[in-house]
Amino acid sequence: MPKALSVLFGAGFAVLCAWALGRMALKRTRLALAREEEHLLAFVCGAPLLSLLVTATCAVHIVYDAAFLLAGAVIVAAAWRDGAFRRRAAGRLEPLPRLWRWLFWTAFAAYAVIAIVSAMAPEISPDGSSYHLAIVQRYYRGHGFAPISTNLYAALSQGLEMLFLWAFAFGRHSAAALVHCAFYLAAPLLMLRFGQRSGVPAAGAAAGLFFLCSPLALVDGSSAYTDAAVACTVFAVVYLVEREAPAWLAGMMCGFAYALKYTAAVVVLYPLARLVWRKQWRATAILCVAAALVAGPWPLRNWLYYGNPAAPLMNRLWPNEFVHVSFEQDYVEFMRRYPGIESYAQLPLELTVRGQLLGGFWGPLFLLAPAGLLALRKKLGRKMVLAAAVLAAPYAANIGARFLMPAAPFVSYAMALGLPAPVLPLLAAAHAVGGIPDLPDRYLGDIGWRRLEIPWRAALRLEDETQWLARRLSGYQAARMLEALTPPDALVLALNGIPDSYTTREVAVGFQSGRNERLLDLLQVALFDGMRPKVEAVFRIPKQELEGVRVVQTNSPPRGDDREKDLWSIFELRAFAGGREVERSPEWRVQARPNPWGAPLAFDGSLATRWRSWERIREGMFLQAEFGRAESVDEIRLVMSDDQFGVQMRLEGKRPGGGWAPLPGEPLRRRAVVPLTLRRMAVEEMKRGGVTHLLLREDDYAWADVSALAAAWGLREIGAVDGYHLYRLE
Amino acid sequence: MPVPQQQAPPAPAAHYALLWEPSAGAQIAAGIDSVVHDDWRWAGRRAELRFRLDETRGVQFEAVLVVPDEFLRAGGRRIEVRINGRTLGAIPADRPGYQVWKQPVPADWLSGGEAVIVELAADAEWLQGNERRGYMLSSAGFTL
Repeated sequence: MPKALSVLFGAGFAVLCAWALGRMALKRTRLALAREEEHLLAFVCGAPLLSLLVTATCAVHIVYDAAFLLAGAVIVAAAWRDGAFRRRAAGRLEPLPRLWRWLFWTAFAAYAVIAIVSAMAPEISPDGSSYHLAIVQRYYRGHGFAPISTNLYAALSQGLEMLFLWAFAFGRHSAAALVHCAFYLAAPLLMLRFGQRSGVPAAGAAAGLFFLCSPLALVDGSSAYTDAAVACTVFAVVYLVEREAPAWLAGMMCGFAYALKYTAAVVVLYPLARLVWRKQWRATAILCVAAALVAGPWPLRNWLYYGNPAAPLMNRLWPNEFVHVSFEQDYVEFMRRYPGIESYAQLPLELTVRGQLLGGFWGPLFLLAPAGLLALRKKLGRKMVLAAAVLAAPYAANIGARFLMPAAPFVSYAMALGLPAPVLPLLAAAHAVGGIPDLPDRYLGDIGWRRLEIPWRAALRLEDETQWLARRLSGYQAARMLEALTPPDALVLALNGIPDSYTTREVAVGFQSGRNERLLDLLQVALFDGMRPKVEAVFRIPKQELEGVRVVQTNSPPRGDDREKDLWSIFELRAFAGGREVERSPEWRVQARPNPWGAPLAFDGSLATRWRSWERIREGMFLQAEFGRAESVDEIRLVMSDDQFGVQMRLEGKRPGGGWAPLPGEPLRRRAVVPLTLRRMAVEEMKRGGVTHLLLREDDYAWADVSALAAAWGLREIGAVDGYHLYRLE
Repeated sequence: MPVPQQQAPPAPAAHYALLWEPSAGAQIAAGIDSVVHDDWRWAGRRAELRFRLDETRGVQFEAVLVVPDEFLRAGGRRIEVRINGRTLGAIPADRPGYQVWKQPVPADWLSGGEAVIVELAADAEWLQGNERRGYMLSSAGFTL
């Protein structure tokens, strides 16, 4: 099948099955739907059901093309039998005024073509071409779920990725993007129908266009992202609640919102507050149970695979090896204040017209967003402002522009209800024209993420896909190099992400999981002077019999302190008596808190490996060894790095038959000898950790040293393309 | 958790001399006092150390020392570092106090497994009683 057709089939099959399931579900709600809304709501309400079905196939490892085809055929046949293909609705919604009819449908048609063409083109979005579809591809090749220790994004909820998987099976990347595009196009239609249903058709049309024609919504909605689907789903929740839909349906959609994106779970507050206010306790319970059933597979999977139901977040609550607390601490801070954002006063312009620092922009129209507060004069306006506030609440946790997507339909609605009706057509038309690729470049200058072109030749595959990708997608050629030069079971350690959905090899990007961070730490220890084992902290104590020793952290740097972010690390902990080392025996038991899994690394005799707290230092952390019997001890030596200035330690000993008690004395700090073979030792440890190859970019910090001293590292360069160099671990 | 398999038995390093360690005597060829004071020993006008390296690529020579006022009063200004007879550079010693001097060593100056002779040649020395003194050397050798 020509590629363009397989893309359309993959996406169309997913949308058709979702629609069919939705038709059957809606029939059982006995909701009186108009002709304009029944098919639209069927798709949106069927999506969670299809997503659950694919989740189940992943759980039992039957992800095969044939299984999807068969399941799809059964769904469509069942829908046929159920009368889904017959018109049910008799009523019509309030018609659109003539001006709006022309304006809305002209703009909608134009943007639909642009979005569909863009989505059909080979996927080049940063997250779509990397983790969204790389993980989908892993599930597809593995025929279902599997723990993925090298990518923390694999632990996010993946409700939409399940629909991507269904489409990916037949049309690969572009089919998945088209599925997301379906939600992007459904959202303004829902907004329009909601306006017609609520007696404000012009406001509904204007709000729909405000959302649809935003440069950020367009580029996101036509990529294999999830944000537009979230926007569509949360709007559907409010729509259904306002239509007095049954609680199970609203709950199912709320659960699906969580399955699409953790932060979208807040939408449940809208129906919940309404039901509690009305004291409809049975409906409240049904809502919660339905939401939990749809959302439930994701925390369950995370708990089974990663030991943390909320992975990759809340790692202090559920400590695990998969994601380090230190990563989460840094990540949360980073997301709250992106580089270049010195003050929140920058946000209005960054979000609306600049877009470089926050990954996209909504368009100058949204400078008028405060006018949405004028909608508070109307009952519907108050609901829209309330919904916007609820859905914008999680924005403080991540100030990227697209994280406003769930609130955007409601902000658009509030604006359309608050602004004077006569100016709405002008504003909508200007916004629609101004958002067409790449007109923003004409009037806004050098701006952020947006659609730059309408790639119709690439979409129809009239232009060679690989050449098009090689020109437009940084790292694509590196991904193909991995495919050509490494064996299928290769594990490639990389310092920066590449579009790994275009390779079947496993790529462990340095920061993207605890395992990767530990592998990267080996490289950094050999590379950076401050991280090398060059300091020895020596505790000298009166000679005595001890059954164990423990070093305890006694410092908790206050917030804002330079040392607040220090991590504690120890390469080796050795006990001595009379200058002779107490031999480590199989009876020894070692322990640490936090990161108990890493404790053995401080007792393995290697100066390439270290126990790290992987959490910012705080009082009470410890590393200990119990000898299994009383040993004579007069000195404890800790080999450490020189990059942990905030660390302050106390030594404790376990006396025979007694408990742990502090041993007096401050540690003496002195120089330790760094092995000259540390580079090779690091590579040996990486091999032990499963790494087979190292991928470096010429602007990576490790590049200069590795390229000059590859043999000393035990690396051999086996390929280079586009500024990327691939090394095999020898 | 039990202790993992030990990856290498701890062996005294032959490429670096920690001068507070008694075992450093094996690396001292000449010009460094046998008496250890806290974590240093006196080095004279011409100190010589002998090392063996298990890796010669990407290594640096490092000396950790303290220059006393007496050295400056005796006219001392620099300590030249020679490796196998070739001059690597000079440690500036025109100010009193602690310093760490580090300099990359070309790999072709070194050969793995063979003895590497490092000479620290100061341009002055002074007398403490009857003992000739230069500066206080804490550690020296090859590192990354």
